[in-house]
Amino acid sequence: MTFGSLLFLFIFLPVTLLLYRVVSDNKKLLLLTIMSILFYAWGSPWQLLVLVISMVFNYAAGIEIQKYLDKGKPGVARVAMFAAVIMDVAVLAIFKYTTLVMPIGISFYTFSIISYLADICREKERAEEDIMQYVLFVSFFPKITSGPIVQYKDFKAQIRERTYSKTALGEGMNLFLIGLFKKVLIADTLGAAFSYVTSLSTMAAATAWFGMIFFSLQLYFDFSGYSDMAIGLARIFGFRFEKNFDYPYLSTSVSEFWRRWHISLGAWFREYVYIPLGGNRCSALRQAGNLLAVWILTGIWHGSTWNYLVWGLYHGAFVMLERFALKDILPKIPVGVRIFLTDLIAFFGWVFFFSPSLSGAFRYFGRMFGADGAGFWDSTTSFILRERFLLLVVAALLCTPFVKNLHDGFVYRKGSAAKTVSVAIYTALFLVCVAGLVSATYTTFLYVQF
Amino acid sequence: MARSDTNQQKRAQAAARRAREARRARELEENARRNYEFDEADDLDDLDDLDGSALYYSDEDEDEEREPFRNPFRGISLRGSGGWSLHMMLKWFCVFGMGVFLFFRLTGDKPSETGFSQMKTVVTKAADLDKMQPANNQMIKRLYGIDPTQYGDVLLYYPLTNMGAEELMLVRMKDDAQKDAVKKALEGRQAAQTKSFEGYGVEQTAMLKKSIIDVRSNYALFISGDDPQAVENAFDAAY
Repeated sequence: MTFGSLLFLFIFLPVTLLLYRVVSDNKKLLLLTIMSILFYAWGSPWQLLVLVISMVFNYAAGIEIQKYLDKGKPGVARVAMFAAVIMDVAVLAIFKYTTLVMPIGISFYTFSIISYLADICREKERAEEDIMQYVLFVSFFPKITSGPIVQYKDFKAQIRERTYSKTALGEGMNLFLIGLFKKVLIADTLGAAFSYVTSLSTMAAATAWFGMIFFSLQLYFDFSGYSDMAIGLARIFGFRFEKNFDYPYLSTSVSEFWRRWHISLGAWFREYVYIPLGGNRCSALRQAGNLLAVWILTGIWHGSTWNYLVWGLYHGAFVMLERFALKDILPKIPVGVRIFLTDLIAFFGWVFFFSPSLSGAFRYFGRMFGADGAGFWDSTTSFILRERFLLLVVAALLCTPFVKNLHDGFVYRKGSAAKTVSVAIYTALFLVCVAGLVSATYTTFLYVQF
Repeated sequence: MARSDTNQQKRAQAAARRAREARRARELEENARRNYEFDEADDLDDLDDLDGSALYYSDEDEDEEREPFRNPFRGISLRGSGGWSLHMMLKWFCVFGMGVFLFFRLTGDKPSETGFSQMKTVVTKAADLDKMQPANNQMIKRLYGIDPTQYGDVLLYYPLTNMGAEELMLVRMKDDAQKDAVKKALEGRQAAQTKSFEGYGVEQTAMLKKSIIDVRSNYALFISGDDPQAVENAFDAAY
């Protein structure tokens, strides 16, 4: 089941919400756990088996680590943690790098589970005594398929402090609708434009550039749309997750881009890889090694083919360049130029990302510089620009906080009439999205494959 | 008097709740700010401050944490304190279970890496398409009850006339989860066609009886025609 399916929108979500509203407070977490398992198992029970084995194994491993810590044996606890993490990573690698069909969300929930074990071992949290809360942490349906990767210590705090209220319900619904809009109306339309470009046997250089731009925008709206839906859903049930995207295409450096793009993955690598390796409190050479390790892992986390590894190294190289060589030069460059250059670097990087192989990526780069021999601009390029110009303008605007600020300024300053207009806009958006879903133009989320 | 006390209590509770929510919002804002400042942190102290977990705890939480861990499996042990406790057994049982599961998955039916266009070319070349016509998504939905947009790729050639029983359906599935639904759809169509010709269409019934359904890891084929075996052989070779 996905957030964009009619089954989820019109049956699963309303039923879960209704039950969540009527059951007593002490049964709410149990209900969420049951519904999360149902959501995950829907249509594919075998992947539930993998999840259950993984959950049971790591729950037992957590208890073992805690017992060693309580006996004053932190060294043995660390060994137990590493053994469990190696097992988790091995299972993930087998699914990811062989021909086996990957269980949905395995990359995301494995990282969540590793955070659980690491937080126990570092004594930031204690092993969970309540199995049901642990199962909910791993399988919570808003986050299990594509994140955000919530760290155990943060989720634990949320279980303690979650507040279910009408305000939370409203905020959550709002965010969910924004996400649905981004996905169904923007990302899928951009996806259709990108598919059109890639289906061309030969293309002019400018057409290939348009293809790159379409995909870069599609990926942003697809994944940030999904994240908005996930965070909104969690909010509906009283949980407050950190945002996963923060207008990344407005970043003024590649380092900043990665603090604004897939924030939960960056935070995870920082917390559980970069800082344990020594972070930036060591020699420059060691720092570079730590960064390299993080970026290699980021690349291979996304996929087994060489293009993902090169994509990770490509970004890592720019981050290192900014940190060690351009530290003093960057602030002197005008902000607009820095944003343009950062986007250019990020967009070029996505070519590695969308190409099926490394050679495919270089072939596409060749096309962007006229390797197809179709010149810089042809009639197809004009057609694409004419047909998709409005889409590009809307997408570019939505990459900035302009529309949100305009809406919020209007709604919060102009009183109740403006609020009615806002509700009408959201309702219309929902209906248009549903029309898009019914007409089967909807496609699955891009990040589900990871 | 009693009512006034109750109201006061309610007001106090509401004020406390508002204060808690405000504190939580401040903490989240501060946490987000600190996350962004991470790369600015240059030394050990800054990094330690940035772990964020301290934001969620009060002194009471610290006191609470000092309580000894209550093992959910406490008291359950096979050989006393020195033997294997239940959680250790569970752990190794899971390792074994995952091993067995992966072994069967890896040695079982593997997905084909043949592209759909190549598979389509091979299969349509082997089939006699003279008495069939290509179907659009709407027709696929009508005849098979599946939504083609939910699958990797779907190709259907259906009879030119109502009296025809020749048919070719090729599906590339996105994942294993779709296998059962596709199998059901193909079997449903085969059964429905057989039933509709039973009693008067002797040739068609015979053709449908020898028709073939072949569902594999990521491809499924349904072929009804004069020589379905030839098509299946081509499918098998290309798989």
